[in-house]
This record gives sequence, C-alpha cells and structure tokens, in this order.
Amino acid sequence: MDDAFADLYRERYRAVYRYVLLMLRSPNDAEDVTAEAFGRAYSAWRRGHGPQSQSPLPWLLQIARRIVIDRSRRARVLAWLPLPFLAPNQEPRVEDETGRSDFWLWFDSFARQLPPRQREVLILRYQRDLDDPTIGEILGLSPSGVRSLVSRACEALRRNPEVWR
Amino acid sequence: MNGKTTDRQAQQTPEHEILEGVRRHLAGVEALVPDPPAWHASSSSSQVGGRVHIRSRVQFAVAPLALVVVLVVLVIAGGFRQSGPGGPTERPSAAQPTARILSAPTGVSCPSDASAGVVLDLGMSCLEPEVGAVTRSGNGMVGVILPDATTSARYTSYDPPYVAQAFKTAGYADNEFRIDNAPDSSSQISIAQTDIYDGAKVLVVDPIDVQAGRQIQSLAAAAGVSLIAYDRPIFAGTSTYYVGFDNVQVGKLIGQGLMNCVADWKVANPNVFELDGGEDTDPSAIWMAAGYNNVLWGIDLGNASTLPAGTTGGAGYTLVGDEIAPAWMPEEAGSIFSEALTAHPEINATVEANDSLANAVIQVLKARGVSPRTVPTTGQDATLQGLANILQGWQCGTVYKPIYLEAEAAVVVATYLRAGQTPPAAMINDMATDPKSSAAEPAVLLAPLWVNAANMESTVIKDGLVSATDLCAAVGASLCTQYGIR
Repeated sequence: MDDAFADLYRERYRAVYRYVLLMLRSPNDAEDVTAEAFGRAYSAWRRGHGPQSQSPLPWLLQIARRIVIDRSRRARVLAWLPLPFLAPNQEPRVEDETGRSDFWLWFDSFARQLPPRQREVLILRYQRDLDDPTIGEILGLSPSGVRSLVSRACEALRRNPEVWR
Repeated sequence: MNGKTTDRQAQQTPEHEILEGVRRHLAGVEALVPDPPAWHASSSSSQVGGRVHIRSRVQFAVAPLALVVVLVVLVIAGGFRQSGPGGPTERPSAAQPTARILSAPTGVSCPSDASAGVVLDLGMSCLEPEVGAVTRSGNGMVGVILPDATTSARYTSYDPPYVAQAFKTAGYADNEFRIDNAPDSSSQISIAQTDIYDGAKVLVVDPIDVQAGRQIQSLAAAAGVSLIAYDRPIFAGTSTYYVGFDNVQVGKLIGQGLMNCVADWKVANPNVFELDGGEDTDPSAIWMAAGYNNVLWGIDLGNASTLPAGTTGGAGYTLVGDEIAPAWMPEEAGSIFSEALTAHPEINATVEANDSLANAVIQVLKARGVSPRTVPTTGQDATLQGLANILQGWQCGTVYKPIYLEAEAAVVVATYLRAGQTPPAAMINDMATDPKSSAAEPAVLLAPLWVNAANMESTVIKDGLVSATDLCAAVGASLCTQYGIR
C-alpha cells in the first residue's frame, strides 16, 4: 500500500507543485504546501479515505487547494500586522525572489487581468488531464459554471491580447 | 492606428485560440517545477489528514487569529485611516484599543417584556438565556463573510470582535463560527464555497457588491444553507434575512436634528441646501433622503432622487437646492456646495448625509469667514472629525449606528436559523424593500441614535468608538470639560 502511494507521489508531485506554485507564486511556499498536501493525503489514504473518483489528481488538488486557501487567508490577516510583529522567519516577498524571471513578469500581467477564480480555472485547465466536470469538482462548481468562468476569463483576456499573443 | 487593428483582431479571436495562447505562456512554469524530493512516509505520518482535521485546523487558525490580530492592530496602530467612499456604512478611523469593546456597551436595560417592543436596542445580555438554549439545540458552523478594510475600517476593527463576542455570549464553541474578511467579491464567493464545503449551516454575509450577494445566495440555496445579509441587503432568493440599520430612520434623525439646531442656533427663515449621499451607487442613500425630506418638507419622495428648489416646508423653511454627492465623494461635495453658496448667498442651513460631506461644507464655510453656530450642518457615522465639528459648533449632530447591535442581531438570527427555527417575530420587525426592484426580504431593522454634544460622552465615547483622548486632542481640553467628555 505504501508503495502504491509512493508511486502516486512520484507521478503527481509535479502537477500538485505546479498548481500550488501558480496559486501562491512562491517556490518556498509551493514546496511546503505540496509536502503538506501529500502528507495529509497519505494519512487519509492510510485510513482508507483515498481518492473518490477514478483519477487521484483531483483529490490531491482538492487537498492542496484547501491548504492554499488557508494560507492566503492567513496571509491577508497577517498583512494587517505592523512590521515588528511579522514572524522573524517570514519569507522574503515573492516578487523579490521571482520578479526577475520572464515567466513571472508575464504571469503577473496575466494575473492582473483576471479575478482570482477565473485565474484559477485557467490554471487548472492547463493540467491537461482535467476536464470541466473534474475541475468543477475541485472548485465546487457545476461543469457549466466552470465553462462560464472560462468564457468570462476569455472575454477579459480578449481585451488584453498582449498576455496571450 | 496599430492598436486599433490589434483590438479588432482580438475581438474576433475565438476562445480556443486565447486558451491555447495562455497555455503556451503557462508552459514556462515547467522550468520552475522541480522533480519530487524523496518520499518518506514516516516523516509525513505525523501530519493530520482528511476533511475533518482540515476543517478544525482552519477554524482554529482563522477565526481566533483574525480576532487577535484585529485587537493587536488596534492596540498598536492606534488609528487606521480609511480610504474610499464608504457611504452610510462608513466607520471612522477610530482610535481605541479598548477592552470595553467586548463588554456590554451603551447602557441598555432589558425590558420586562421583550415582545412588547422591539428587541433591537438591547444588548445581547438581555437575550442571553433564551438564545443560549437555542444555541444548544442547534449544531454546525456559522460562517461570517465581511469585506476588508478598503471601504471601511469597521470591517476589520469592529465587526469581527463584536461578532465573535456575540457568538461566545450565545454559547458557541470556537469551532462553531468562522469570521473572514475578503478584499473583493470573488474572494467572498470562494470563502462562501469553502464554508459551505466545511459544513456551514448559516452564512452571514456583508456583500461587497450585488454580484457577490446574488452568487452566494444561489450557492447557499443550492446547499440548503440559510443566509443572512448583514448591513447591506442582498435582495435575492426567498429565504434571505436582512440585518441592518433603519436608513429611513437615519434620515429622519438628520432632519429632526437640523430642525432642533435651527431653533437652538436661532437661524431665521431657514434657506436650506441639501447635500444627499451617493444615491447614484447606494440605495441606502435614497432611503436616508426619504427620511429627512419627510421630516423637513412633509414630502414622500418615493424613489425619486432630488427635490426641486423652492419647495417649502412648515416653520418657514425654503429649499434652495438639493444635490447628490456622487458616490459619497467629499471632494465633489466641497465644490458642489461652494458653487451653490456663490449662486445663493442666502443659504443659512444645510443637510448633509454623513460626516465627511458635512466636513466638506464646513471647510467652505470657514474659508468664507462664517462663524460657528451660524449655519447648521448634519452628519452620520460619528467620525472623529464629525464629533470635533459638533463640539466646536460647526455641526449639529451625527447619526450613530452602534455596530455591536448589528453584530448581536445577526448572531441571534443566525442562532435560530442554525437550530432550524424561525427567528422570533419580535426581532424580524420589518421587510426591507429594494428601492430599485421592489424585491423584499424579512429584516431586522435596528434603531440608530442621534448624537450631539449633550449625549456624546454617554454614547460614542462610552462605547469606545472614538477615544476621548483623541477627541480632546482635536478640540482642546476646555471643550471636553465643558461637555463632560473624559
């Protein structure tokens, strides 16, 4: 059983990491969250709460997504603290770390065009083996809800061809 | 030009082409994704997993953390300056780190028969015994979703601690409620989804905009979750409750406050200029105007916007002009009033729908050498600035909407809904009606208070909305002594 999970980990690590990285835009966070997600997934797996659907990816992404949401909420709350109260081991701002790479420059201009959920749906769409019903499962939406989110995203992007040309 | 051609081409681009383009760019992320580190089952086995654990983690992390952080920020930061048009829900940049915030505010006495009147100006303490029993008979979580501090500091500084205290007073455990602030409507919607996913029985939502309200309503309805619109109505669905202040009553207090002031300051033949709130963006501004127009002119404007100049009321009142401050912008208000005063130097009394608008008018009056206690102004929100203007004789008074009343009422209604019961008729005292669509929802309409120099100490200062120290620093010790503010 443990071997089966180790296989799953090897096969799906990159997909989960990629999703988390695009959501949080910080390699350090992506590493932590991905590890935590697999940790949670593993203990659920051992207790017989494995993936419900055929493919384990939506299940893993759902677990990762909850941690991502948890973190970004906490980040918003922490943004309130005056500086001396930030934890000393606070990671450097994402922009400092990644601001120089072309990919992040593009991603920031892309992200600026879209509200968070539309952005997320396109990030999930990028994972080729996720179809609309599965994405809906992850986001808690109907397949048609996913499609309408996608088409609203496209509508916004149509006005900003520089981010997809 | 080039840009135009590109735009036209872009407009015709089919979706799949856009998505393919995004995908191509996104592929750049692959270089940033590492290979998996070695898997050590043992190192991860200490972590919790599964939905139940995740849920409790989030609750413990978010709700109390938010509360603690808010209090810490209050203590440390002293005052948070708000920005943007808050309109009627706007809260002052209050400055108190008060511990009082969590104990029973403004002296309220519990009536012997709650059903005789409306329960609504009671502190939670009056309801505690009954509500506690209802809490125990229900189960599940209540999710509270607020805006963040962009439009008003109240959502992070006041609502969360009051709401949390009300939950605790009502007997909720820490993991039975959750309070979140959200920066925009899509975050509000996704927090609502998360709460529903985590088993919320009731959502209390202060919708950032119409879209957030509608979408959360349909999510909640689909999941069988009860919904309470907090401070701003939602007007969707058939079982949404509304908890907020009675905005028509806000307007009436403003009208009555002006009339008292006119008598007090001995203004003869009042030639009134009205500066309405942002009726262009905010239905509650329309309700407020309906309130003061009713008092001053005996006219029920219905849903129309402004009154014609020349309207007369009892007691020799004449309306010189009535204008809207678009989106509650004080900058606009200043120039609108300045032009009006140039055209009509006979203006000697004014109505303003909130303290920021009043202050804009007061600046114009000061610049023209008008003395205090000469041209009345009115307001709402009990801001530090407004209270200072009142003590210095520039403003008659301000409408104060104690947030703790709203927080408590929302928690009480949520508690009944969580237990599958109908909230008591004594609480649901009205139907809130959409001025635009005539949609209506059962409402707890709370009574606002008129605050002037005479009752300032016993209301806003005692409640800790504005600290006496800040106020006295603004107006000087002698005025504070004169009005018993300490």
